[in-house]
Amino acid sequence: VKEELKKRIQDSIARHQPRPKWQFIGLVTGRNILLAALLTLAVVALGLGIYETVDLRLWVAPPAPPGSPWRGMAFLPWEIILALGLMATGIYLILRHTGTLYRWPKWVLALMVVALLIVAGLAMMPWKTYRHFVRAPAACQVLRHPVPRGGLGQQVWGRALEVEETRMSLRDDRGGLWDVLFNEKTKYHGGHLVPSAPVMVDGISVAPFRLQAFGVRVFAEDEMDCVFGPPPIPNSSTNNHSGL
Amino acid sequence: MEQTNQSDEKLATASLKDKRSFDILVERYTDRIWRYTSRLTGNHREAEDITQETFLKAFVNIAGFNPKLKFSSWLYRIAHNESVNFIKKHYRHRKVAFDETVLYTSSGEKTMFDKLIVQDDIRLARHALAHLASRDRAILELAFFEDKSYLEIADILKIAVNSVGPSIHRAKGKMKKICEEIK
Repeated sequence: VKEELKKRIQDSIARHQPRPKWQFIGLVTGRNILLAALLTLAVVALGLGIYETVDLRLWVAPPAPPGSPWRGMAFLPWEIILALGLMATGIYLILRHTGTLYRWPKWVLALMVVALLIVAGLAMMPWKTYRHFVRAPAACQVLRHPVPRGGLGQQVWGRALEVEETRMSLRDDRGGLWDVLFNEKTKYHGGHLVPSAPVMVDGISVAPFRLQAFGVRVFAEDEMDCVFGPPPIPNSSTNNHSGL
Repeated sequence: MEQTNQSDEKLATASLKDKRSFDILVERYTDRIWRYTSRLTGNHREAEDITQETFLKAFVNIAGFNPKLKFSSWLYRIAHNESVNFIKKHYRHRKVAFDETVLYTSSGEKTMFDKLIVQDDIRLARHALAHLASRDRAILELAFFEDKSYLEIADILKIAVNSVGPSIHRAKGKMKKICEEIK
C-alpha cells in the first residue's frame, strides 16, 4: 500500500508545478502593507481621540440630541467601533503573523486585550466623567491657566453677550471684549448657547480680539465660579475693541 | 546519493527547481503522514487521499515554506488541517467511525505510547483513544506516537507551547475516564 501510495503521490506531483516565489512574496508584502495601514489608522484614530479629550477638552463631539447617552462623548459610536475594530484587527494580524498568537500564553493575550480596552476607555472618556475633574479645585487651576496651544491658537473664557448664527460677542474673564466667529465646522458642547451663558472658546486668532472658533463649550451656571472666579466688574473692558 | 543525505529543509528549498528533491521528502514522510492521518480520520482509504493531498499542497506551496523552520512541522500542519477539514466535512454530525487497525503501525514496531502501558491494556487504551475528540487525539498522537517535541506540537496545532503539557494531561485524563467506562 505504501509503495502504491508513494507512486500515486509522485504521479500527482509530476502533473503540477510549484507556485512561483513572487506570489508568496507579494502575498506577505501585501499583508504587511495592509497591516501597517490598519495600525496607522488605529493609532491615528486613538491618538486623535486622546488628543481631543485632553487638549481640546470638553466639547469635541458634535452636539448629540439632548438626553442621548452619547452627548458629550469624545468619540461617536461608529468612531469607537471603527477604532476598536481596527486596533483589534491590527493586533490580531501582528500576533498571527509573528506566530505569537499560539506561542504566547493565553493570559498574556488576555492582559493585552484588557490593556487595550483600558486605553480605549480612557480615550473615549465621556464628558460627564470629565466634568468631575472640572469641578475639582486643582482642575479649576488648570482651566484658568490652560496649556499654551502655540501658534495663533487660543482659548478664551468668558460670558456670551450677543449670540447670532455665525458669530457671538464674548466678554472674557479679564473683561476683554471678543468677537467669536462660527462656521459649519465649529463644534458646540454643553447646552444652549444663549446670551449671558458662561463659555469657553477654542479657536484661532484672526485679528486682535477676534477668534475663529473651533469649539465652544457652555458651562452650567453652578460651574461658573469655579472656572471664572468672581463675576467681572461691569464696564471694565481692557480693550477698545468696538467692532460688535 | 548526496541528495538523500541532505536535511529536509534543504531538500524543500531545492524542490523549487528539482522535483526529485521533493520525491525524497515523499519517500521520507509518506509513512508517517499516512499513519498520522489514518489515526486522526480513522480510515485507511481516506487517509491515503488526505496524504496525497497533503503532499500535493506542500509541493505546490513549497515556495512559501520558510527554511528556517522545521519542514516536518510544516508538513504535519498541512496534514492536520487536511484531516480536520475532512472530519468536519464528513463527520460533522456523527462520531468518527473508527477502524481500530489504523492504530497499529504497519511495521508492527512498538511506539512510545505502547511502551508506556502494559501490553494487556494496549487494546483498551487504543479503543479509548479512538473515542477521544479529534483535538485530544491529535495531541496524544503527536506526543506519543510521533514523538514530537512540545515546540513542534505547538507549531503543528497552533497552540501555546506552555499549554501543550496541560493539554496532554487533560487528554490523558479524558482517555482514562473512557477506559474506566469501557471496563
